[in-house]
Amino acid sequence: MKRTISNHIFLWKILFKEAPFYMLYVLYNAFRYQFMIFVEHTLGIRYVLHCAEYHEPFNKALIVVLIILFLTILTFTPDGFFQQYWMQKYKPRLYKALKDRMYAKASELDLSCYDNPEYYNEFVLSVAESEKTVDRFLELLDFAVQGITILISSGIFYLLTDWTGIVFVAVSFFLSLIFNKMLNKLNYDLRLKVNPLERKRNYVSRVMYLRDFAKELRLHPEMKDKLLKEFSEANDIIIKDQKKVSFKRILLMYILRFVLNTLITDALYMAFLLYKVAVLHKLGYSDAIVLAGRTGDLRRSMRYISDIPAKAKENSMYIDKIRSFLAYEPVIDKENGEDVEKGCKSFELKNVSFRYTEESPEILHNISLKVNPGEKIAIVGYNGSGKTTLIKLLMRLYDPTEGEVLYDGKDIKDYDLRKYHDRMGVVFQDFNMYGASLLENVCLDDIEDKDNEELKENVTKALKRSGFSDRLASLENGLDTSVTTEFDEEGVDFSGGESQKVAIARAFFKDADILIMDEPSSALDPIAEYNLNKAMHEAAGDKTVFYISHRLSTTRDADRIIMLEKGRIIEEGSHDELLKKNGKYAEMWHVQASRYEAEAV
Amino acid sequence: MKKEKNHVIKNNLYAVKMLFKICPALVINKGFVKMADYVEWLFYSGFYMRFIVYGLENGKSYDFFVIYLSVAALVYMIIELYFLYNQGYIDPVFTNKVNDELGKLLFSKAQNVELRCFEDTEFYNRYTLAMDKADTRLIETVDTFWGVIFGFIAAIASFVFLFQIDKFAVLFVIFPIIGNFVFNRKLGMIDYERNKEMAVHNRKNAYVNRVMYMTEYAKEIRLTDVFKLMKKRFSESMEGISAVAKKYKGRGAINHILRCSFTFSFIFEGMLIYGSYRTLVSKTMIASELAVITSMMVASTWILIEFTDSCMKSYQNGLYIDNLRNFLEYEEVIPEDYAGDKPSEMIESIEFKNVCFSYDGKENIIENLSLKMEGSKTYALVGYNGAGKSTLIKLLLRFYDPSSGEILLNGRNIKEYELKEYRKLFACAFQDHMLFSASIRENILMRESTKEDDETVIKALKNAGVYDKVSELPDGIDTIMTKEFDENGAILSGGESQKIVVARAFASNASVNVFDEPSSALDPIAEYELFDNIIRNKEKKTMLFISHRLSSVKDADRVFLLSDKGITETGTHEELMRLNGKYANMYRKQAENYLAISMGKEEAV
Repeated sequence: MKRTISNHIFLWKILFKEAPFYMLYVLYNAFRYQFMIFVEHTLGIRYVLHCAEYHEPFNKALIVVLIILFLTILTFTPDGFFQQYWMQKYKPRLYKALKDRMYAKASELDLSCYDNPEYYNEFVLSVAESEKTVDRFLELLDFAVQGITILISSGIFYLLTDWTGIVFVAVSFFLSLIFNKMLNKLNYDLRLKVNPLERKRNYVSRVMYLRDFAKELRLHPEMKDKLLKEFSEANDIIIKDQKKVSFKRILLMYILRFVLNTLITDALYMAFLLYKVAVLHKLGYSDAIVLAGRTGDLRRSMRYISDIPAKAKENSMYIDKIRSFLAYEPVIDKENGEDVEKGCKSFELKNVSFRYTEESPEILHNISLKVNPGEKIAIVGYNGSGKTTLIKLLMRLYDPTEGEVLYDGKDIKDYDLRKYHDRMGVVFQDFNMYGASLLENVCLDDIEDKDNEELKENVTKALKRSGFSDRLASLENGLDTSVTTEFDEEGVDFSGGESQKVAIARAFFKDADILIMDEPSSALDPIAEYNLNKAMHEAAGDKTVFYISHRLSTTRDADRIIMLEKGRIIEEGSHDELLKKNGKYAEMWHVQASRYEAEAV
Repeated sequence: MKKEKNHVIKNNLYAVKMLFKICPALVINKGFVKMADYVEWLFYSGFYMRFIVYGLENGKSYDFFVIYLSVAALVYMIIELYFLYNQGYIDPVFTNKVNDELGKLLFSKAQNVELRCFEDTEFYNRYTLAMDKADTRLIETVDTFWGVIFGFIAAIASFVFLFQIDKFAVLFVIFPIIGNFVFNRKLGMIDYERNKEMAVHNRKNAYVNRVMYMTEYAKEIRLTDVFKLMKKRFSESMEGISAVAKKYKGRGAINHILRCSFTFSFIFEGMLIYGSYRTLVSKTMIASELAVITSMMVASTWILIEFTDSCMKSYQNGLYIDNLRNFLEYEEVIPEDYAGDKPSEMIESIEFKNVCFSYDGKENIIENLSLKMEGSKTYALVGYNGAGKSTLIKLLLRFYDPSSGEILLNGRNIKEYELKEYRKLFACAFQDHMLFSASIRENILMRESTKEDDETVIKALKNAGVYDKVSELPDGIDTIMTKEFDENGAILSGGESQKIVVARAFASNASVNVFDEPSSALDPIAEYELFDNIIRNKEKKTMLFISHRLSSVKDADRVFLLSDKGITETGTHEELMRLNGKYANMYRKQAENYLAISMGKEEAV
């Protein structure tokens, strides 16, 4: 309860700070809406009926009605701007206020958070739900104010005219609470039961309509039949479950809707009112009509208010997720630390061990490695030997579980991470193109001065070095071409090979001291691969290079080759040294080279 | 516009017919519920109160009221029971039935249309729109359809009631009619235009959102300043939204105010004034009528609003049904249940004769391509990125038909064969493979499987070089893949998944095996062993490889080099090397580094 309130206060503060006037207006609007209904439908009608019943002069009725008319139109006027302008403008801002905070946090989150499926799911959920959380909160505010407005206005009206109505409504309301709880439990249990079946159903339908599966299913129609069978079975069970609860559910709903609602507040209360009017003559019929008509409002207000705790609790759950996400302190601090000096420096790994999570097996065991400035290091090994993980530690996407990584003699944890990353150009196997201009896709930064000639020249140079020149020349808008058709229909979707070249240009552009490449050529045809390797060779210059590849022909010129197996360095040395050693590397090399060698011989 | 309206009506009727075929009880009950709903509403606002006030004014005895209330309660009791029977039984049960029937209908269609439908973005978008929550939307369409019909009747009925009480009162209905049909429509148009203008900004927002939470972007966000770029995009879109909102500010507000004034205030307050004038000044109306007329007025306003809402929704539903209908009525170019002769399992030859093909009907990807493969031999297809190698495979598997030319199997056009049987001749391992959320054995056999298959499955896994990994899993070959339904489901690495997919081909008896880059994610040793196993298990099969690693294709009986939209070089590896063309160039480039060492060796010797 306390937590629920504090969560909503937390959210209110963020939203209020973003748009104070709007938030206050939301409160006022809920009040205005119900209050004007009360004025029109309760006070207005009652007054006119009163006039009719007691034959008051027409002028009195006329003036009151005109005042009401004037008031309603007056209050409609700002509502027009609220609905048609403020809401359109401010709601996205409210979402943004929350999302800005979440995105900033997401960008500094430790990468390890992404590997933890539980954490990641929570994170995705809270991002996905953030807009709805704001919506739900606004709705909650709206309900609360509306409910309170009705309760106070109608309540006072009943107390002044005939308080017994409140008793009828209250009896109906409290009994409803009990039966409602039973109904909710029934529905909740059913949902739990049906949920996995629905997931199965959705999975089948996803497989049936996602294009990724289309080819496989066409080649294997038996798989399709199997899935369809599962789909029908799931549906059969859902239908059976639904049938099973239907009698009890109808009964409960019937009690709620008919017995407690229609019967008590409409029929019995009406009978009571009529008794007062026709038998006791204690009440005028105009009052009776209005009172009978208002029970619905009063009931609704109670329902609004009684729904609030449950809804608030549900929403609080989501706010909780958002809050704990925002409160997460990344282990890897991005902002603080020492400057990184330009120029090539040495690397050293000292007894580095690493595991992704506490439960998961160790990926790297006690690795020690010294890399001289400007040295070209190739990392080779079997699938799953820990090559990529090692690279990630060098980049400080993760911190080692044990041991330390030194750059220029200092633990990389001591550096300002941003500045450390600025020294690195990285090309991954999995890179992304962004919905931005080609220029921005190379810089990967927010460029203020887009017409800066020097910048343009550098970008063009980088693209040229990665072999993109011809394609660039064919682009009508050159560097301003928008990439991806994400939100520009005129945008260009580059092919896999072209995208790879852009990704490589990023590393060239950066003027980094360290180049890191993780299988950059895996998707390329032999010619493209050859050209890329040549380009990279040139670009490497005196930079320190780390290169991962399965194709040993591309790594053989490295100053040193590191062979990993099951998380350990098993061999180390130049290509020739390793061949002489005739160990695992040599075996791997021969397997790959033998077929080419045979040719030469 | 008029044509569109006709279309919408037709589509709505189509939806009703369709649902009626699937589940007549649901359609009928939905109609009755809607009708009863309006009857109840009209009765409550038109008669219930009227009768009571009338009784009071005429000094009826209390018994009269008690009897009246009892009868009314009884009627409600029955109507409510019917409503709840629908809500508690009919709806939940039959919605699932519709989900099942419609699902099967749509899935069968989806699996019967040719692959192009999935790869053509426009078609695919329309089709996913049609599939998305099709069951509930179809039911909703029928529900709204009844809403329009009974809403219209109820609106007329409420006007008649008003007319009965007071001839002139009905004239007040003109206000909500203006409010609804003039100003509300304008608001709808404003809303539509505004949404259209905002769409681009909203898309930007959604994109930023995706980049910020999807794992695949996480690394780059940490290593580069792309976050700043995304932040800017986000701010830009927000400015865009504000500007659009501002643009519609005046028009929107004025229409909103007018709509509310006409729909609610003018009619209601006007009625009160008119009623009280008639009661108090001209004395031509009795108080009970005044009471009824006010509540009737409120009711007819709301009935009118609901009617117009239903009409608008019906219109949107019509557009949605259009997608569904187009999809279901789409005539397959290559239906999966294409009938024809059964092909022989013995492959003598596969031949492409002057085949041309284009995805968009404009630019040919493949032009005048001819090639011939003989049964039981091994072929390799090589070429640059984007040369059309995968397209060629798609043509071979008849996912597409050539725009001209023909593909022959054993001398007969493949169009003459029954498609299902024809495809059964092939076992394929694609580059973009997919694993299903099912057991490993099922993922390999691609059908339901029992213990009897153990041997086949294990052998296939061994040949693919992934058996060791699989046997480490808690349930061995019965382990469920992916965590979709099973907490303990296995998630395999890229290389391992690739091996599972290759194992499919090992487990199959198909006469032709097609491997599209089967080793791209594998390390050299694994790659070597894989190719070795493939060749060893070849038996009488015809093999077609696509690979960038030329060393692995050189043992093929014949190599096809695909470039410039056709096969430009063909022959054995040696022949092509002698030819000294593109293939030789490619091969040498790739071999250069490996060869360098062997030269070195030779020198050393």
